[in-house]
Amino acid sequence: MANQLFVDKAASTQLESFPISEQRAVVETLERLSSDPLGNSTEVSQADDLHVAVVDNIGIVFSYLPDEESVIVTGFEELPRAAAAQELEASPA
Amino acid sequence: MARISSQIKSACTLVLSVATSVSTGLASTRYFANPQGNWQPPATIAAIFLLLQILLTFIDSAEDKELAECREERKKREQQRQELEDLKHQKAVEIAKKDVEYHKNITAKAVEAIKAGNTTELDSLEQLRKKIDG
Repeated sequence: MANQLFVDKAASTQLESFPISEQRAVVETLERLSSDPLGNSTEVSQADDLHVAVVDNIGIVFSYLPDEESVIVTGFEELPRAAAAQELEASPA
Repeated sequence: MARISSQIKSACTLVLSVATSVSTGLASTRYFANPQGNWQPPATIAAIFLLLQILLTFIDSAEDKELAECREERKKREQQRQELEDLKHQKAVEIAKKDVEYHKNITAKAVEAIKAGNTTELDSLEQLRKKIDG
C-alpha cells in the first residue's frame, strides 16, 4: 500500500534548482518510495527513521514513519559526480 | 535472432550427423576403396559429411566462447554499476549524517503539521509533479 508522501517546501525549492531531467527522475523515484520506502534506500540512523535514496547524482533524504504511513522528504543532496567515479576507479577490483 | 540461429545450427548438426552415419554405414557395406585405390562414392560422401560436421562443431565452439566473453563483460559492467551505486549511497549517508539534527527537526515539524491537518509548509507528490511540469 502506498504511503502518504510529503516534501518539505525548502527541499521542494531546492529540487527546482536541479536540471529538469533530474527533477523528473527524482519525482519518479519519489513515486516508487511512497509505495516501497525501504526497497532502494539506505538507513542513516535507525532511531530517527532517516533514510537516503539515490537517483542519478542526487541523494534524497527522507523519514519513513510506518505508524503514520508517511514518507517525509526532508532534503536533497547533490553528490560529487567526479569524486564518486574516481573513488570507484581507485578501489581494488 | 540468436535463438533462430541456434535452432538452425542444431538442425544442421542433426542432419549432418544422420547423413554421416548413413553414408558411413553404406560405405562400410562395401570396401572404402576399390582394388585400383579409388574411393567408393559412399566413402567420399561420408568423408565430406564428417568434415562438414567437424567444421560446424568448430564454428559452434567459437561462438560459445564469444558468448561466454560477452556474458562475462556484462557481468563485470553490472558489478561496476552496483559498486558505483553503493558508493553513491555511502556518500549520501555521509552527507545526511552531518545534518541529522536538521532532518530530525523538519520531520518533527512535518509530523505535527500533518497531525494538525495544516500541510501548507509541505508539498504532496501531486503538487511537486505540477510544479515540475509547469
